[in-house]
Formats: sequence, C-alpha cells, structure tokens
Amino acid sequence: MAIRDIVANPSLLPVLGLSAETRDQCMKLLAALDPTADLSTDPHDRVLAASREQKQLFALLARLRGQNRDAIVHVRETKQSTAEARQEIDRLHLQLQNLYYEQRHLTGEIAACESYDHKYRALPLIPLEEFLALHPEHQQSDEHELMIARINHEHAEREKLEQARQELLKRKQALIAENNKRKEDLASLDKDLERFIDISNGTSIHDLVMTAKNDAQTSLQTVSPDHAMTATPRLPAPETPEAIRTRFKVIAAFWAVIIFLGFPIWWKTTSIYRARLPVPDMIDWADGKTCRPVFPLEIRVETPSLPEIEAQHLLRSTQHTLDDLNEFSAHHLRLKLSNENPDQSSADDAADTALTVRLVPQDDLTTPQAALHPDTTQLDVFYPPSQIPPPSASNSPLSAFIAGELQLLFAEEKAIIAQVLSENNIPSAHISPDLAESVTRRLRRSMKYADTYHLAFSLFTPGAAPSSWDIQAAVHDYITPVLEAFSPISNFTVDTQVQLYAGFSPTAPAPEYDETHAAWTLKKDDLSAFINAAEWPLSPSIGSGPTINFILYVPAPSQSPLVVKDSLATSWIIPQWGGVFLLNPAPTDAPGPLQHLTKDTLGPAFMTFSHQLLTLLGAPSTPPPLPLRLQTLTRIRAATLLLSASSTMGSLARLTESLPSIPIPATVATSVSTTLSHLTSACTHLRHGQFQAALASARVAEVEAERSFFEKSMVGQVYFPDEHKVAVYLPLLGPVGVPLIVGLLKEVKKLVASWREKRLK
Amino acid sequence: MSTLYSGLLRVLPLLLFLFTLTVSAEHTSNWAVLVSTSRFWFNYRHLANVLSLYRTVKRLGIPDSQIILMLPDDMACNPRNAFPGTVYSNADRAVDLYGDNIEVDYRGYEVTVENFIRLLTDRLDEDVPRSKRLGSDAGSNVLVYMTGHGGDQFLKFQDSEEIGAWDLADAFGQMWEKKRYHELLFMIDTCQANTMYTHFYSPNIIATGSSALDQSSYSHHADNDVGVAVIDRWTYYVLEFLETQVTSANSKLTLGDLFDSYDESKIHSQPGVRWDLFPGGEQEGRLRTVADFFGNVQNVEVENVNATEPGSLREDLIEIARLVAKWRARDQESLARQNESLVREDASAHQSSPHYTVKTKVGAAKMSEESTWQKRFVGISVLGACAAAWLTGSILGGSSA
Repeated sequence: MAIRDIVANPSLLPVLGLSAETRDQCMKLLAALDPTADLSTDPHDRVLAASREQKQLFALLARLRGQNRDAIVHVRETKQSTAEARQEIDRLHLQLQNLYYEQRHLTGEIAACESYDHKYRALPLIPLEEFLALHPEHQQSDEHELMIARINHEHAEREKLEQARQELLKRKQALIAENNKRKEDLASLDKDLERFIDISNGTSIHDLVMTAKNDAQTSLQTVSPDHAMTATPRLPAPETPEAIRTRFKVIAAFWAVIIFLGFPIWWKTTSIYRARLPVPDMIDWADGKTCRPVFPLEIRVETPSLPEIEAQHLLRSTQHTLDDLNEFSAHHLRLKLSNENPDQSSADDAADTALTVRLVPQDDLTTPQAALHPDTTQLDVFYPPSQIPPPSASNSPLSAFIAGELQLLFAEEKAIIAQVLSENNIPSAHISPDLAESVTRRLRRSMKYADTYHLAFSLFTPGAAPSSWDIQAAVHDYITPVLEAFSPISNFTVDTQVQLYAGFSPTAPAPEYDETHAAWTLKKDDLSAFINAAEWPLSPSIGSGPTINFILYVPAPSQSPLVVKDSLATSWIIPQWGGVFLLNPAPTDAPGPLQHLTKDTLGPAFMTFSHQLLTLLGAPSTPPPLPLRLQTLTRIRAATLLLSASSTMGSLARLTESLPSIPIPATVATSVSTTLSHLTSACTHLRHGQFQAALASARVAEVEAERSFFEKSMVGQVYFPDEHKVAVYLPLLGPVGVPLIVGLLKEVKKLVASWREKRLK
Repeated sequence: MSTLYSGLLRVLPLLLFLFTLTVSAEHTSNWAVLVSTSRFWFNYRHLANVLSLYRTVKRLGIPDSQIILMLPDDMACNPRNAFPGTVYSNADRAVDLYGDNIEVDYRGYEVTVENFIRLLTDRLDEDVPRSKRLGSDAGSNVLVYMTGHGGDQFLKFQDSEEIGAWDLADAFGQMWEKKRYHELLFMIDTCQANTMYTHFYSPNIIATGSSALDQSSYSHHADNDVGVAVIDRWTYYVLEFLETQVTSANSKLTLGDLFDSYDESKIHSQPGVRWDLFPGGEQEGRLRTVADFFGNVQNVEVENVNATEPGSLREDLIEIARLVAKWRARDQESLARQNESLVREDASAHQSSPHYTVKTKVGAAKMSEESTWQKRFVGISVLGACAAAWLTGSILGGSSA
C-alpha cells in the first residue's frame, strides 16, 4: 500500500490501523444494510445487527477523531520545534558570516601592513656595498643596526656639506662687494679721466686711458665671471667723430624740416586771413564825426511881374524870416531867384530844386493866398500888389506869409529827418512831441529799406468764384505809375496769385451780421487774425529783398458785404507787411457768384493798394502832391541809407575788433572802401543839395555795406578755448617733440662747451 | 493850405492816442528760431519739444514765414515709429504735432552749428531762400528755443559737433550790432542749460534755462507704444503754462508769471533766468508779456474812407487817380507814337501791344566763375611732382639696396 510507504511516523501508525478498521466496519455496516444480500433473515435482526454494527462504527469513528486530533497537535508541536531550531540555525549562520568578514578584513589589514612602504627604504643613502667598504666593522651587525649606522653616517656627511655651502656663500658676498667697490672706483676714474682729458685735450692720452679703462673692465670681468648678470652692462664703444657729425646732421635735418616746412605749413593752415580795414574811419562814420548830413533845400522863386531889385529884396527878407523860424540847422531852405541866371539851370539842377514858388499878383485880394500845383513841384502865391515890401522895410506881411507857408510845407519832412537823425544819436532840432510821435509811427509802419521789393498781389476767396481777374491791366494801370515814380529809390518785382477756397483760420472769430448797416462786420481787434498765416500760401518769394503782400479778399456771397465794424472801412494796412482790401462786388443781375473781376471792379482796390504802397514805402503824408512827397522821400531815404550804411560800418569795425578769430576776406576790405567812398560822395552831394545823386551814392553805399557785413565767409570758426588747443596739440606733438628737443639741447650744449673751450684756448 | 494845417492839428491828438496804445509793444514783428540739435530715435523727445513749441507759437499767431524750425531728424518717418507720419509729445496722443501743415526750414544734416550761426548772423549765400533766413530787424522780438544734449557751456549738434556758450554769445552780439533784434528771449532745455547763457553780453536779452550747472534735465514721461520718452520736463511745464493760461495772442500774462510757474519739485532741476542784460533788469523784464515773444504783434491800421487827414486814404486816392490819369495819357501818347513808327517801318506789321515785353527764356548757362584749366594745371603739376618724388625715391632706394 502506498499510504504505508508514505506514512512512516510511528505515532501515525495506530491512526492508519484504526482508519482501516473503521473502513472495515463501514463495509460491514454497508453489507448489513444491503437489501439484496440476504432477504431470508429476519428484518428485525437485520436492523439489530445494523444498529450494532453502527454503534461499533461510531466508537471507531470517535477513536479515529481522537487520534486525528492527537496527530494534528503532534504536527503542530513538531512545527514549533522545527521553527525554533531554524531560528537557532539562522543566528549561528549570521555569526559565522560575521566571523568570516572579520577574518577577511584582518587578512586585508595584515596584507596592508605587510606591504607598507616605509620612508627609510627610500632614504637617499649611499649604497650598502659602498658603506660596508667604508666601514667594514659593521659587516657582522644585523640589518637594523646597519641601517642606524648608515643613517648616522649620512647625517654627518650632510652637515659637513652644508657648512661648506655657507662658507662659499660668504665668499660670494665678499666678491660682489669688492666688485661694486671696484666699479665705483672705475666710475670716479672715468670722471677724473674726462676732467684730465678736458684739461690736457690729448687724444693719445685719451686713447691710452680708454684702453687702460678697457683693461680694467676686462680684468673685472675675469674676476667674477659667475656673476655676469649682476655686473655693469657693457659700455658703448667711444663715438667716432664721424658718428658725432652724422648725428649732428640728422638732428639738424629734422629741425630744418620742422622749421622750414612744418612751421610754415602749420602757420599757413591755422592762421586766419584778416584784411586790414580802416577801422578808425569806419568808427568815425558811425559816430557821425566824418559827416553831418545837411539838407539845403533849394527853392526857386519866380517873380515874373516884379523888377529884380524888389524881387531881390523880397527874397532876402523872406530868407531872413525863414532862417528865424527854422530851429533845425541841418535842414534849411535856400531861396533862389530863378530869373537870375536862367541859362545856367541845367536839368540836374532842376531835378534837385525842391520847390518852385511862383509869385503872381492879383488885384482882388486883400491877403496873400497860396495854392499847390497838383502835378508839379510848384507853389503859386497870389498876393495883392500893394503888399510888395518897399526896399526900406525890413519885414513885410508877404515875406512872412511866404516863409510861413514854406515852413509848413516842409514841417513833416523836417520832423522825419530830425527823427531819423536822432535815432542815430546825431543831435538835431527839437520838434514838437506830437509831430515826433506821428512821425515815429509812420516810420515804424514803413518797410525797411531794400534795393528790391517784391510786390505780391493775391486774390483770396472762400469759394470757387471769382476765379480770374484782370490783374495785368490793373497792375499796369494803377500800380505801375507809382512804381515808375519810385524807380529812383527802389526796384520792384510784381507777383500775383489767385487762391480759391481760402478759409479763415479756425481760431479766428467769425464775422458778425450788423442789422443797422446791413453788412457783415469784423471787429477791429480781430483784424490781426484775419490773415490765415498758417494756411494761406503767403510765403516770401525766393530771392533777396522783402515782399510786400497785398491781399484782395472777396467774401463769399453769403457774407457779403464784409466791412470793418464801426468805421465801415474795407481796407487796412499791416505795418511792415502789406495791405488788405475787402472787395465786395456790387450785386449783379447775373445769377450765381461773380466769376471774373474786371479792371474796373478792381479799380478801387488797386488804388487803395497804391496808397498802401506809398505808406509802406515810407512816403510822408504831407504835402499832398505826389511829386513833392516823392522828393521828400528821396531826401529821407538818402538820409536813412547814409546813416544806416554808416552804422553798419561801425558795427563791422566793432565786430572785427571784438572777435579776433573771425576771418576778414579781401572782398570785405574792398566793399568797405567802396562804401566809404560812396558815403563821402553822398555826404558831399547832400551838402550841395543834389539829393538824387546823394540817394544814388547812398544806395550803393548801403548795398556794399550790407555785403561787407554779411560776407558769407566771415563766420568765425567755432570758439576754441586755449586748454582745448593744448589738448589737441600735446598728444600729437609731445612724443615727437621730446626727443627732438632733447637732441637739440644736447647738441647745443656740446656746441656751447666746445665754443667755450675754444675761447679758453 | 490852412485847412490842411488845421486838419493836421485835429488829427494829431488821435495819432498821439494811437501811439500811446502801441507804445507798450514797441516791437514791430516777431520771429521764432526753434532748434532741436539731436538725431536718432531715442532723442524723439527733443523733436517733440520743438514741435510742441512750434505749435504754440503758430497758434499764437507767428506765421510760418517768421518761424525758423530746425529739425535734425525725421521722427515721423522713422522706421521705428509705431505711428508713422506722426509725432506726439504726450502719451495720450491727443495732438499729432506733425500734422499736415508744418514747414521745416532746416532738416537733417542741414542742422549744423555753422548753419545755425549763419542763420542768426544772416551770413548766408545770396541764393538761400528767405524762408530759411532770419529776417528780423531792429523792431523784431526774437524767441530762440534750443533743446538737445548739452553740458557745461556747450550744446551738442547731431552727435558730431558742439556749439559753445561763447559762440552763441558772439552770434547774439553780432545780431545786436547789426540791429537784428529788439528784444530776445533765449530758452534752452538741456543738461546744465543755465551755463549756456553765462557768456552773453549783448543787451536786451532775457535768458532762461532748464537746469543749473552739474544738473541734468530730465524727460517727463514715456509713451509705451512709441517706446521712448516723448517730452522733457521743463518744456512740458512751460508748455503747460502756455497752453492752459495763454489762450490767445491778446493774453496779458507776463514773463514774470511764466517764470514764477516753474516748480522745481516737478521739473526736478533748478531752472534759471538771467535778467541783467535787460534794461531795467528783472523789474522791467518781468512786465514783458508772454505774447511779446510767443505771439505775433500785428497792429493793423484800418483806413477810413471818410477820414480827411493828410496822407489818408481819400487824399491819396485823389492823388493817385491824378497820377494814373497822367500815366494813361502818356501811355496812349507813346502807344500812338509807337504805332506810327511801326506802321512807318513795316506796313505789314501787326498791331502790337506795347504793354509788356514777354520774358525770353534764357538757356542754361554755366554758373562757375573759376577757371577750370588753371585748376587742372595745378592738379597735374602736383601729381607730377609726387610721381617724380616717388620715382627718384624708388630708384635711389633700389640702387642702395
């Protein structure tokens, strides 16, 4: 049976037996209970037998169970003991392991100890054989003793060597000291030798000494050949006279280049050309010392109906009255009888005649009367013949009247000239403050003098119409006559433009509607903002000379008519700039806005422009006839230009003195001399009453003066402080200059020394 | 004649009255010279400073023809500008300073020390247009505003050169000598700005600067989208005063008010003012109105058609009408004479209009006056000399070697 082979434990064998018994009992029970086995027996017996069998089975089963339990308990105990035994084994195993590691470590340590490399093995000792040869007594001693002996021997040997080294060092120091001492001796010997040579000047001795010196040096070097590094460097070989000469030549060449090439180039390129100007003359002109402008006005008196004697007398008494009235000596009137010498009056003379007074007797008058000719420079004086002064009378109402009239005619001119002179610090007559102020105002309003003025006529309109104008005809008809009249004073160019859709600037106040006048009005204070300077193309024209702008503004039909509030004026002057005219076209039958402005429509506007031009050019307001005013303007302009050119001369003179770094080209000197000569001639012409010629000269003088002052190349170079100059030159010239200067100094020293020697000889 | 005289007497008080009105503003024109001196994108604020001031003086009435604007760079068209074609002086970007109506007189590399001094002293070529000239005269009030990078007594121009305080003083001195200004207000916004006006010596100058010696002048704020600072502090507060308080050219605010508005805690530097060159000193100078320098004086004179004083419109019109009539008569006479002669000379001649001679176009011509042959000769001889020197040198060197 398999089970018997497997279960060998004696404690389990009863279990096996019992279980087999139980099995047999079960079989018996099954047999007893088998219905087919034996039907013959009594069922009751069978039941009894079965129950017996059953009871036996139960008993068996109980025993089996008990044994089973015992078996399990036994197994459990066995397991327990097994575990305990195992733990013990583990512990022992671990111990074993530890021991094993310890053993390995110890073996390693032992190996390390065994293989330790001690210093004594590597001691730099003399070899054993050598030692033994030296000390045979140690032949027998063991290794340890031998070693000790060897080490001691080595130590002794080394101490001996160290001592020797110290001694050598001391010797070396001593040698160096000795060397130095000898060197010093040699140096002093050098000096002594030089002195000696200087005194004796014997080249043979010098050579001798030099060779001696060289010998000394070589001996020195042999003494201490080991210390070559610390010894003195080898001195250069004596210079041959040829080398000295060459060096002198080299230095001289360098300096020659510097002095004859470098210095002139530097001088030429850094110097500023300043032409000589007659500065004192110019200052004198500016101060008014050279020329006091005078204005002797020549007035021709025509007395066709008077005998010459009476005429002369009248003239004298009038002149006398005039001179009494006049407070302003620079501007005075000179009366002259025209029929004195009619053949001598040339055309020039006539042009410079300020006024012609024509005395006309008229019977039906009680007091004299005067009337100006509108087209010419003529004053008609009507007088009753009874007022002719008798030759005996010193004064007469007629002469007083004529003098008064003349005085009045030239009052404004006198005031203007006085004003112009006083502005330039030239003492002049005192004029009434009222007149002076009005004159100042007019002067301030007028343009600065220019040789050429540009006239710009512009048509501005806020809409699309009018888009054309008869400008050529209008300028020809209304402006050209005035320009012709001004031609001796200035030149003019004319430009025109039409600008449509020209609106006011957004900040400008809009015109207001005035019910009472049925017109759109602009406030006077707002007129300065009328011109939209930002957007209207009124840029000055290209070319020299100022521009005088004339603006013709045609308001939109919805804002027409446009006038200035209160005064209802339609034009105004902008001082020193130009004039504005508001053209309100008369309502027409034609539908739509006016497209074209005809010459007649433009008439009033251009007449006004002419008037504004007169004002802007500085024409005086009195006397009314244009020819007289133009003559006055000629005199005023001559005076202004004369003074302005003089003051420019003064400015230029002061400028050249105050700015020493500014270049003055030759053209300036030429211009200045031209100016001065023309100023002189202008002054002379003025003195002689030739105003046209004076103006012509003054114009030239002014142009030349301006040209000289505004000379393009006369812009001073940028200011350079001296420290900047040093900073520029020093890094450049320092490194180059030092050797050159030192070389030069040495050579000079040598030269001086040799020269001294020669003198001593 | 007597009516004339009495008319004159009548009118004089009126003229006197007008004169007393105008006597406070004695100058007759206003000029402004606005200069920025630095290039490059990161100096955006300097151009914005100048353009802001340009806007202000233009708003107060100085026309473009009397403003000299010097801009050394074109910020509006700078490729780094995130807002092409515009320049702003404030981060709110409310006002485009460049706009579409701006006249830059000196631009880019034209902005140099030399050109600036030439401009002030008017030493320019004859063919320089008048828009590039300072046409001021003895009656002009001139405003000079400069901004850029500066230091002790100098101001850099374009990162390449500098103008010294001496140069500036000399330029103003020359202007005064030639009567090119009546009064001058000099403003400068740069580091150590106050040192720039220390050397001035000509009278009638009021000078003010943004910062004292050894002080920097700072920018006010940056616009993050533009990417750089857009305005300097001092200029910002000056402009704030001008823009908020000086609302029109008729403003009565004085320079004293402007200078009193300087607030060092806001400006972060000590602004300076120099009065001693001004006649009457500080007392008198403080009374000058801001509009005297920033605005444009224009005392217009209305012409009344009904006035009868001498030199008035009506009288002149009569005179001019007379002159015109005379002219016409002469013209016709000459026309007739000319016609006659023409007819006599050439029967087939057309009816000619004598009014204007048509300008004949002049062909191109060489403008140079210098003799080119002479120059060529000099050049050739110099070259020849150099070549000879080189040749001899090489020959001598070769032989010695």
